[in-house]
Amino acid sequence: MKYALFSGCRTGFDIPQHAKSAKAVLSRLNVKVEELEFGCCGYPAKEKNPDAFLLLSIRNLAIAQARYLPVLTLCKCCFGALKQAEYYFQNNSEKRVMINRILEKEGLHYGGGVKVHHMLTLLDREVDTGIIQRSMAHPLNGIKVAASYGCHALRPSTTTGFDEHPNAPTIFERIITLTGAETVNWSKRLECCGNPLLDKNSTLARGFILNKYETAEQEGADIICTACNYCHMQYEYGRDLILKSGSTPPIPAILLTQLLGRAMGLEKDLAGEETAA
Amino acid sequence: MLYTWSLFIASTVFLIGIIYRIIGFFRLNIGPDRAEFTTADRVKAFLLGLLDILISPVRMFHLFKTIILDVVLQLPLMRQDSLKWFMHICIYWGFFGLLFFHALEGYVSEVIFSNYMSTLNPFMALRNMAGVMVMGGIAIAIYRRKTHFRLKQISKRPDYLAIVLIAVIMISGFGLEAAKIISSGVFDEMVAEYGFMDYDEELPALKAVWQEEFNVYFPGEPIPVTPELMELGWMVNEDNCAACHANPRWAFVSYPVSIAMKPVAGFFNRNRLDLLLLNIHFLSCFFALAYLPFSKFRHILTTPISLIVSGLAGQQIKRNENKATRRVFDLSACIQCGTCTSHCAVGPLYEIFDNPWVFPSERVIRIRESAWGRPMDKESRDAFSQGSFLCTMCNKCSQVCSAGMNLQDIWKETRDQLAEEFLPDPVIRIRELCRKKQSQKVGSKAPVVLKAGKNPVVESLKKSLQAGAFSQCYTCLTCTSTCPVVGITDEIREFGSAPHQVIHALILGQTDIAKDASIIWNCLTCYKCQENCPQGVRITDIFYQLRNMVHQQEFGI
Repeated sequence: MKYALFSGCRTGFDIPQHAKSAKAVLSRLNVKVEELEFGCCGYPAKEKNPDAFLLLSIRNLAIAQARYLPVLTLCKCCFGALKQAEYYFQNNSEKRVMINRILEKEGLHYGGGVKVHHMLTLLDREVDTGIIQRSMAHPLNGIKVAASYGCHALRPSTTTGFDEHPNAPTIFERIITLTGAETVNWSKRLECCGNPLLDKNSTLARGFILNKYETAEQEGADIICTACNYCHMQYEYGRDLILKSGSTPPIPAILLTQLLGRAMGLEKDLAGEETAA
Repeated sequence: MLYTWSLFIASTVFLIGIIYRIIGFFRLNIGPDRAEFTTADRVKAFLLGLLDILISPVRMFHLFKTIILDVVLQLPLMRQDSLKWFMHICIYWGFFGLLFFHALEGYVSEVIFSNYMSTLNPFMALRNMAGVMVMGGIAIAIYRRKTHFRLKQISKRPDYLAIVLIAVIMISGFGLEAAKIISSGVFDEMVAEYGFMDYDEELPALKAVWQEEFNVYFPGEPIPVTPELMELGWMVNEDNCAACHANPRWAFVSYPVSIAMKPVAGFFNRNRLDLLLLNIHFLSCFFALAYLPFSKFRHILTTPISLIVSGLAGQQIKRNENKATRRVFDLSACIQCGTCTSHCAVGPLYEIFDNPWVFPSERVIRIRESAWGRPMDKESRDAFSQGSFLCTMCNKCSQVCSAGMNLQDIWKETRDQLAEEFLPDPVIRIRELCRKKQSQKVGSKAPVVLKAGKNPVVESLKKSLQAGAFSQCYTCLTCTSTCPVVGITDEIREFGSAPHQVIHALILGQTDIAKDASIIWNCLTCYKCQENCPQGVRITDIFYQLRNMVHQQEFGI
């Protein structure tokens, strides 16, 4: 099976290591991906204009449909946006016509029904667990990992279908334990990272991320694991805040694909190229 | 006379323009006005940066590599779009061929080739070849601008003017060569100057050969041709002309043109229209020269430099002074080729917002104009801010830019500047408005008024897919008690209403309370409330819709 890799805008500059490590991990697992000319998932425009959100989002699904490929996202917000857009598109014939009329200008058309996966759902449902386990050349035994779930994939569960139990999900932990690492029972694992308010209410954004670090450390975690571009950027932001304030450095936050890559012994593919402008 | 003066004026304008640009590169600033560096600082940093390259063999090697691969061969363009690469290579190589070996023949061709003569081969054929390349490139350029739906949207008068100007130069050039081929006047001048004929019958013989074989059109009846006359004519041609004149058929474009001109050749020759074409040809060239610093033609000088900078430093530059200089410089390297815009992650939003500043290439034009002293009016600034903040900073434009621009850095600086000028992301502006409204409301006592009919906002929410079920709410407060924003805040009244109060206000038709509640703009959109609502009220989606409504109210979209 082949997937259209949707790495998300933020991997273009802020966290290129996400796309890079994902490709390395997927290739080790023999999952084929193709990189299509996707645009924005629509999530950033959602609060401004519903049509803008729907157009951007559906356009990506149309691009994937033209190549007969399911979509594989790395970011929870991209995943949630694409899933919700599909739902609105399916259930609103007026919008369906409007969006397709715009898409036709660039020779695209969307008929609905493109499958959207997140890295976690892919590893959980599409890839054989045995293959994942066998690929772990350097199991991360003894490392305690706190899984930071990310909201937009998990909820609203009726639309996203990310985990059967949205209030007590286990999908992230299931994948992490495949690396040999342990997971900690973290009270704030389902809590928002605060990134949506980063530019809008920095007091709140700061409060949420510091709280996440603090509680994860209290649970005895060695590492926080993220699987979302925005969450990860938020942890980097929080880390900078803590370092700047002169406190003891927090535990590291790493991407799921970096965690897997480390267990697979793909160290050299895990860091992003430096792109600081 | 006309030639000398027009060349003098054009060169003067060109030089002044170039100097004006260079001063601007080191003086102007993109982004918040921090007055960090003086012009002298920036010139010094530039020279130091240059020195860094010149003293390092590794960097010199990279410099050389970049010049060959990126500038001369334009490989990045080829990887992106082979038709575009072919188009540009045709124009680029054809243009430089003509510039150096034809326009500057006295300084280049004559110096390099001891036997150079513009009417000899291979020079004549190569000149036609270069002309064909440029014309072919232009044809592809027009085709692309007219057929690519995104390019069509952004192509404007200056883009077409540039194409037309090059076309005028090329067509007048071919026309001039053709007019000279058929011209009896030119023939007579040449004979008077270079012909040494001993016998009277030699001139008619030469004319016969040039009429029959070289397509010269002589006034009056055509010269009757006999084999003997032609034989003599070829000998005379060999003695007098052949050293400097190849068969004009080698001008493989101009020659067919001259044949096509045959029916009007008499008129052309009588009025010496070849001289008119000559004037058009050099005047259009000189106009292009003078226009260069002020138009997209300047990229001939700027883009190679920005490609080299990008090849050497990527998106990183060591000195902050040079970053500032690069931002201004990069803007001059842009040619509105539209590559960034056709790859833009949010470009399609133009269809929704009808705002050209959604497109990166359009923003570059506006930022450049502002930097060089054309400020924006209030309305444009609003629209520009909207476009700037729809950008997701995905860096795609910088990655695909065929001029090697670091657009990411330019976006970051302009956004910072907009934020400082109280034009931040529209969403942030709305938040501020909400806060103001909130503070005004405290203590105000309005007289009691009964509800008048149905509330349109409530009705539209009820009909919408996202929000339809809100009247099922029985105010159990689950939403508020699961809300992380409520949980983390000491004083939730700061947000106007708690989540359940927003929903309750909607049920009561108090839509202003709902829309003005700043909680909807401080919502994380984590969907916890919606997930947990026992009645299936889509609270977060309702919040999204309220945001959309307020956005439309404030910005009309």
